[in-house]
Amino acid sequence: MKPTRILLTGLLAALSINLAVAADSPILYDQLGGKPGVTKIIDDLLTHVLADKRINPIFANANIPHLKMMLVEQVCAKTGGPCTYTGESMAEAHKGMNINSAQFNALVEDLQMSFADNNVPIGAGNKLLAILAPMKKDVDHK
Amino acid sequence: MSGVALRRKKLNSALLSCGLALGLCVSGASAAHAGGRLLATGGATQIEGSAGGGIVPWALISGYGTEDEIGGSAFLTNVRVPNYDLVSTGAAIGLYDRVELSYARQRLSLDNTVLSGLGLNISPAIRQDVFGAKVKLFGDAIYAQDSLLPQVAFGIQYKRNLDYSFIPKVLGARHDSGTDFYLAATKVFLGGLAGRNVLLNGTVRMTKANQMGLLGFGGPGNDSYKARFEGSVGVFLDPANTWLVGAEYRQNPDNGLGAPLGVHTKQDAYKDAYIAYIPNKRFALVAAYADLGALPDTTRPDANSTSKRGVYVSGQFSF
Repeated sequence: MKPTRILLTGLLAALSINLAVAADSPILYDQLGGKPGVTKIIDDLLTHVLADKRINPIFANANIPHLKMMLVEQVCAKTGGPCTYTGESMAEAHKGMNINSAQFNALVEDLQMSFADNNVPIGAGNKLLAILAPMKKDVDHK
Repeated sequence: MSGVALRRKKLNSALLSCGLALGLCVSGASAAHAGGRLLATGGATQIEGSAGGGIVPWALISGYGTEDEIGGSAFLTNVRVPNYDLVSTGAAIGLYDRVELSYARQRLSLDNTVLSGLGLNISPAIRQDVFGAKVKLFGDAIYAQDSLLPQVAFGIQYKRNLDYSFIPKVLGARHDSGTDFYLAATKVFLGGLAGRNVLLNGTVRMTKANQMGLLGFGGPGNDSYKARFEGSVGVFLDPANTWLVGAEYRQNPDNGLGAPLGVHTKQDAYKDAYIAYIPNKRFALVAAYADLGALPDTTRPDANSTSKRGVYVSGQFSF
């Protein structure tokens, strides 16, 4: 067996173990610090977004308290927390805004800054990004 | 003036100050427009000038430009194994995160012992130009986390050996130029391994190249295209994706070079283990331990040296 094949096999095995472990580990919502943790992450995210010249014009007329509430609710619902998302679908919410990849990525970078601010564990942060990532196709160029 | 036109104008001025051809565009890179893609999503630059790892082209498009931006990079790479020293330098431009055009000049310097079996005491160099083009076909390596579908790109590398008539031809190579065709699939699994982001890449290349073309194309044993597999794995160590460690593997065709000299200089697969440091979207540094397999050495009866292992160092600027 070639060394690289061994490496690949090992990596794939590790990936599947990782998936199995993830299923048994505490829910992501708890890893993010539950309601206070998620609320703080979203608060800091919005602080970074509103200071970010690349994307803050998009939020010039936004109802920030409502937006925060919807984001907390959505993250809570998507990470196994005790919430039901009551807001619009991502496609509806971004209709006509013509968001592009650079703007979407800027928001991701602001979220990563918020993770750093709050010492979010690397695995929890990456898992949340993995959950949010597929939303890009519902947001971009709508 | 539209945003795109403005960005193009900025790009033009950046390229002018860059001097495109050499990886020495410090002022140009820092003055250039910062691309809108996420950190590390432009990859590094592989030895033939395409966005990728160290030796394998990936499905990612060079630089940090999004679907309505232009990105690019310039690089300088040095691989040193016993008796051989390879310098590769070049630049790539990424158009709208869809098309990549690249150029690299490779220069392989041989130690004076390599040809001493032929009674020659010289330290020659073999130069090669590589013109690359790549187009992203479908998929999104980063964002399609709800599917296993990778990002897939098709690429070509047209190579022109500038010193063919000396060593490559004497060893039995058939052509001084050749074109590689490849299909690359790249996928990042966010939180894929112990919470870290994991990159997997598989590339299939149709090629006739001997040692990437530095020893010409085709040979006495084979002069038809062979499909070769190349793979890369990498794990991002930190939440900001600044540090990436991994390994690569690249098969090569064995075209039976050396037959005119009554010997067989076989061609092995390349392997490396690398660490990449990507502190920001302007600059990246890659260091690797590389194993290039056996390389021609006329002082040995089988005309192959023992496995050539050494260091790989690469720096690049991006925008």
